[in-house]
Amino acid sequence: MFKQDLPIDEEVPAELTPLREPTLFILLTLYKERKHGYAILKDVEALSEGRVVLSTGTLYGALARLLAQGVIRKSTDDSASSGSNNRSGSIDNQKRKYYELTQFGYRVLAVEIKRMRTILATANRELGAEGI
Amino acid sequence: MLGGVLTRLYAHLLKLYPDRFMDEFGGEMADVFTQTLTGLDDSGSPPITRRLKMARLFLREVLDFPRTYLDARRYQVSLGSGETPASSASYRQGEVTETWVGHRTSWTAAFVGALPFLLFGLAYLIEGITELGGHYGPGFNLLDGTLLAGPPHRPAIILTLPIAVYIVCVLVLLFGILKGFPRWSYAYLGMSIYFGWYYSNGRYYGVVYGLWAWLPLFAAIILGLLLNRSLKPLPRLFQGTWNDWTRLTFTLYAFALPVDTIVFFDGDWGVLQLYGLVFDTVLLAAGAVVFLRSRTTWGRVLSLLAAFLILFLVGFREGWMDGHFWPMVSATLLYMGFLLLPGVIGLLRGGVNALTSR
Repeated sequence: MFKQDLPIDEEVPAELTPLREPTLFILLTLYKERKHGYAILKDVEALSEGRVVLSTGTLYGALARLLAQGVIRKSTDDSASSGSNNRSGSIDNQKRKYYELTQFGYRVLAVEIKRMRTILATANRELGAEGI
Repeated sequence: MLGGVLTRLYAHLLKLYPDRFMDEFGGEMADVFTQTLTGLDDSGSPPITRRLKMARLFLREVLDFPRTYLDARRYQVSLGSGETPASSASYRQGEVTETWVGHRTSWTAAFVGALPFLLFGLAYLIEGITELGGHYGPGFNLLDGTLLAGPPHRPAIILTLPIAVYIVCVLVLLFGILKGFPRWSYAYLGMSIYFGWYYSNGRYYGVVYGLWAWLPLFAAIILGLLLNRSLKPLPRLFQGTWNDWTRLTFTLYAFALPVDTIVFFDGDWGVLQLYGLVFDTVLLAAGAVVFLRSRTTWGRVLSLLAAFLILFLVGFREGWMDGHFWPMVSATLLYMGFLLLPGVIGLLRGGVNALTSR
């Protein structure tokens, strides 16, 4: 799923990991492309197969934290100001805000995935072929 | 229809977040919430299922609020003093002339400012009804849970309701501290000071609280400072009073209903007192709403004084009837003078401004 050459920097502060499950899914949804808030909300739900359903408050609380940590950054789409039809009538009339991973964010995600893979490898080794 | 109601409720919920967080994300959050509701509306489910999903969506926002609020608070703190969005209202210099003068409080904030009066009145109304009905159960000592000796005792609700109002007041005051001491929060400060004073003086249904009675109020203030990671709320409180002295009058006005209950209702309940308490509560709450909705200093002061004057003219019925005319007039004038006392701050400020503008 992840590129093998994903940069893993040892300088990722220890307190940033392990990531909470909603945060991990938010970063995963942003791995391939930048997204706006509603898309992140829906993609997290889809990616987690309905297990993680974020409220708007939780989503933006997490986005605010990730912005402050420099894990993601915000950008604006100037071309989204016309054309689309949205029943809420508000977001399409203004510049839509997008969120994307920073280089540091990619590193944080890579460190977390590596950590999880290590745990999984340990579990597999201990449990052997029998599994649980 | 439900979608519209929930959207409006959500807009009110958003107002509870810290200002700078709201500046940054409030618009997006409102849009995302509306889009999610719209998505449910278009889902093709039966109407009842759709409504239930909508209600659950809103409930999730409410339940997640405390945790999200802390995230929002941390975000605001992380911004430090460097970034100050234009509409931010919390703890920044230069905001003074922008919002103190000619600012009309919203209806929601006005209702929040009137709420301590309504809660206080309701608590004592329940006490009155309970006492009138003679519905006494075993009393208990709130501190150690032991039953009080000798029947009959007041039911626990009489003991706990005013304390619950006190706790609500300090919690909302804490929220006011985090919001930068808006005008409505001064009523909560006044009510909390009253409760601290009341419970620290003497025995209350067998319980002596002493100085512990001040604990909730001080805990709220310290927690407010800790959450802000700054001492700025304290200068902000004085800054608010300096720039708009009627705020201090509003704090003192919060004592009016408790004084009213002590003087007029204290342990002497009758049907007349119950109606009187309802009238006094609504009257003082209405005075608070008019105060908060007024734009001018005189409008604010007159709204409080008028409510208080009516309270004394109509509310202290027993005093008039018992022939205590002159003591009642003296008490009325004394308290009105008490309410006007913060005006000295206004005069001082005017003098300082005149000196510094030369």
